[in-house]
Amino acid sequence: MSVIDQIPVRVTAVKQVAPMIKEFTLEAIDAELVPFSPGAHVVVTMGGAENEPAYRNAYSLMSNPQDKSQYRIAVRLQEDSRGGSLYMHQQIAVGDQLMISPPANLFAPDWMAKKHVLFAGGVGITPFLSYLPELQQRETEFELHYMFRSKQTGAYSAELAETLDNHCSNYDADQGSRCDIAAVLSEQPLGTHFYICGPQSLIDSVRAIADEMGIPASAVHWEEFAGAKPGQPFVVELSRSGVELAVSSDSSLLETLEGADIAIPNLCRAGVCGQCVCKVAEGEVEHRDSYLSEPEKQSGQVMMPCVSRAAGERLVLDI
Amino acid sequence: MRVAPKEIQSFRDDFTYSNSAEAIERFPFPFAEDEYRYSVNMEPHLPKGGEGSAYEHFLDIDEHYLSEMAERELVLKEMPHRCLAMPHMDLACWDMVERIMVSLSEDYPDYFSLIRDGDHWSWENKLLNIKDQFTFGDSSSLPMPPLDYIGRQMQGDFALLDQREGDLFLDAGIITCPADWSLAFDAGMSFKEWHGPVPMAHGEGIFERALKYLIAIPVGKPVRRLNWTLTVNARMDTSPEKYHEWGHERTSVTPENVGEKVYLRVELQVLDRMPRSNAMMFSIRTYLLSLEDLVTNKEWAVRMHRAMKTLPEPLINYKGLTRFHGTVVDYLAQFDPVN
Amino acid sequence: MQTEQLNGVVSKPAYSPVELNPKSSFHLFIAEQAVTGEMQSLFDGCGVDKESAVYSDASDSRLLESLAAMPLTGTLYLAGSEPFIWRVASHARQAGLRPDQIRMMVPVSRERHLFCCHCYQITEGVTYSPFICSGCGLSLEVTDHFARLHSAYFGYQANAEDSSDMPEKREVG
Repeated sequence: MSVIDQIPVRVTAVKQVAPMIKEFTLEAIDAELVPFSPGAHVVVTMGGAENEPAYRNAYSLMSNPQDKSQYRIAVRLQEDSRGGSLYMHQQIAVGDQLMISPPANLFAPDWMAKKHVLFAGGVGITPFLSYLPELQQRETEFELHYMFRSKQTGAYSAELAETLDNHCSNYDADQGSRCDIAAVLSEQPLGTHFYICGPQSLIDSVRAIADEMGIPASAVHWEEFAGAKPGQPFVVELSRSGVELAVSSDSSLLETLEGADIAIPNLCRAGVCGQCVCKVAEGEVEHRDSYLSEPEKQSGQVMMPCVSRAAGERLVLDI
Repeated sequence: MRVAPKEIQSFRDDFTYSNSAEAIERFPFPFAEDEYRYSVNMEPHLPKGGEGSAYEHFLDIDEHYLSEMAERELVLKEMPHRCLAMPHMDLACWDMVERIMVSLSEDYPDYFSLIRDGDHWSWENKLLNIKDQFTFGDSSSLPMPPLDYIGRQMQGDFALLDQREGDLFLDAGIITCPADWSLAFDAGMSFKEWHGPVPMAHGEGIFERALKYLIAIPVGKPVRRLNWTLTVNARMDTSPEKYHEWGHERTSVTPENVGEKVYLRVELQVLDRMPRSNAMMFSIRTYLLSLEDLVTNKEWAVRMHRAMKTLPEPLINYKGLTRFHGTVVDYLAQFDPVN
Repeated sequence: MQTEQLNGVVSKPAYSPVELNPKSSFHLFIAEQAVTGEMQSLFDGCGVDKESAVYSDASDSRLLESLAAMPLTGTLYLAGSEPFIWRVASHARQAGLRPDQIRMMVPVSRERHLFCCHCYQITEGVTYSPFICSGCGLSLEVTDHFARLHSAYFGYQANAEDSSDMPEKREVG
C-alpha cells in the first residue's frame, strides 16, 4: 500500500449533471481507495485497446476527501476536444474499467488563511466541491462564487445554493447574471486567500483585477483545467534511438511519445508540475507551459511535452 | 536472513551498541563511486536487495529496535521539546499514524497488528508491549499526542513538512537522533531556510530543483536518498542541544582507536506524500557502523578510503570532521591496494 | 560543529532598498526608535492613505491592533533593529499579512538576538562572537543561521570540542 502505481477502477454510476457535463463515480476493483486532500486530481487513462488511441486527462476529485469507498469526477464535453472528453461522454458506461493515477495535489487550500474566496467557472466547480467538507468541518470563513451558462454547465448549482445558503452566489450568464469580480474582491478582510478554477479568461480577469487593487499576488491561487490544446502537426525525432514520430494536430507531444511506449514521468498534463520536462537537441519550441522560467524557455534547451509543441515542422529531443 | 530485535544496548555512556554479522551485511553503504560528489541522488523508494535488505520494506525494523526506542525515551524524558507539532499539523500527524501502523502491520505481522473498524482502531506492538484502542483522528483518544505516540514506536527521526506557498515548511517532528540540527530552532522554516547552513549547494540551483521535484510528489510515490557523516562513538543523539556534552569526543580519535571509535553514520531519508493533509512525511532512519566493522567488506573499505580522500574541504568542515578526518584517511589507506 | 563556513548561509536575511507599493490603498510605517531617513522620505513620498507610529516594544498591544486593522490591500513598512522588525513581521503574518505585503528597511544596528541551542535562551545585544549565553553562561559561537520565528541567530558552544581552543573574538554584523 505504501507504493501505488496505477489504480484499476470500475465506473459504478454515470450522471448527466448539466447539458455538457457528465459525472462519473469510480470504485476501486481490488483494493480500497486512498483518502485525498482537497483540490487533488487524478489522471484517468481511457481507451488504448487494439487499434484505438489511449487518452489521458487530469480530472479534479470532487467527492468527499475522507470517502475511501469511491471517487467522483465530472467531465465537460469540450468543443475542441482532442478526444478524451468525447471518449468519456460517448464510450464510458456503468461497469466499464478505467485506470487512474494516485491522487496528486497542485491546488490545495492554504490553511493559514483567515478566509477563503473561491471563484469557479463552469466545470471549474469540481475541485471546490472537495474543499467544502473540510472548510465546513474547520468552521473557516469562506465564499463561493460560481459562474456558469445553464445551457451548457452549471452542475450542482441548485444544491450548492441550498446547502451553502449565503456562502454561495450563483451567476448564470444565460439568465444575464454576471459576477462583479471587483466588488467581491474589494469587500474582503486581511488574510483572505483567493482561488480560481475555470477558463483562462476567468483566471486572467480575477488576477488582473486583484493586482490592480493591490491585493498581494501570493494570496491568489489558480488551477487551469484546460490541458493540451491542438496545434500544427510536426515531426519529432528522438536523438538517442533515431526514432521519428509524427505528432498530429490534435495529439500532444507527450501523448505521441506514450503512444510509442516511451514512458515519461508526468502528473498534471497541463504544464504546471514540471515532471515531464524533456531536453531539446534541435528545433524551435512553442512554449505553452507555466512551469519553465523565462530564461529556460529562451534557452530552447528544455520543454514540457504535455502542452508545448514544435514552433516549426521538426523537433529533435535528447531522449 | 532477517534480523530480529535483540536485547537493549546503549548509545551513550558505556556505548554497548554493536552490529551482528547480518546487520553489517545489510548496512546501506552510501558511496556508489570512488570519488566523492555531492548530489541529491533521489530515487523511487521501491523495495530492492531482497529479503533482509534495509530496502525490503517501506519502513525498516532491525536488530536495534529495542535499543533505539529505549534511547528515544531517554532523550524525550530529559527534553520533551525534541518532539513538537504546530496546531495546523494535527491532520498530518494522523496521516503519519496511519502510514506507519498500516505498513508495520503489513510488513512485520509477527510484531505489529492493526485492526480497523471504521474509525475504531486497535493497535498492538508486541515488541514494546503496547496495546491500545483509539478513535482515528481524535487525539484525545490516545495516551499522548499522535506524533509522540507513533514516533516512540518507530526507529529513526520523523519530520512533517507542511506544503504551502510553493514551499515546504518544517512544522512538526520527533527528532532525537539528528546529525547536528535542532528542531527547536529550525521549526517553521522553509525548505531553503532549514538547508541554510549546507555549503556548496546553493549557488548551483540544486535546492530550487529539488524543491520543485518534491512539491510535485503524489500520494503513493515515495522517494529516498542516502546522506552520511562520521560520528565518534556509537552516539545516536548527536544533536546541537547536547553538543556541549559530546563535542569533546571529536578530539579523542587516535590512530590506535580510530577503527572502533569512528562510525559511518548513514541516514536513509524517505519523502512520502501524506494523503489527507498533503503534507510530506520526511523520515530519517539512521544506521551506525564502526570503521573496523566496515572494512570487513573489502569493496567498501576501498571505496570508503577513496571517498574520504577526495572529500572537499568545505564538506569536511561542515560535517564536523576537521579534527579526525586525516586519521580516518590514514587508517583506511591500508585497505586500499592502490596505496 | 559548523564553524566559519556558515558564512554565506541563505537563511541570513538579505535586505534591499525599499520602494513604495504604488498599488496599495493604505501604507503603515512602523519604526522602533524614530521615523527618520529612508522611512521618512518614503512616508513623505506617499500620497494616499497612510499612517506612521513608533513603538519600542514589538508586541505593544496598540501595534497589534493596528496590524489587525490593516486592509487586505495595505502594505507594512518596518524600520529598526533586526530582532524588532522580524518580531513585528511575525505578528503581522499572524494577523494575516502576506510576505509580499511586508517591506523591511536595512536594520539600524548590527545587534543580534542569539538563540542558545543548549538552553534555548535568547541573548540580546550580541555584536561579537563568541558571546556569553545569558541563560547557561556558555561561550557561544554566533552563526549566520537565522530563524524568523525566533528573530534570532543560532549559537552553539564555541569550545566544546577542545576547551582550550576558544576561537578568537570577531565582530558580527
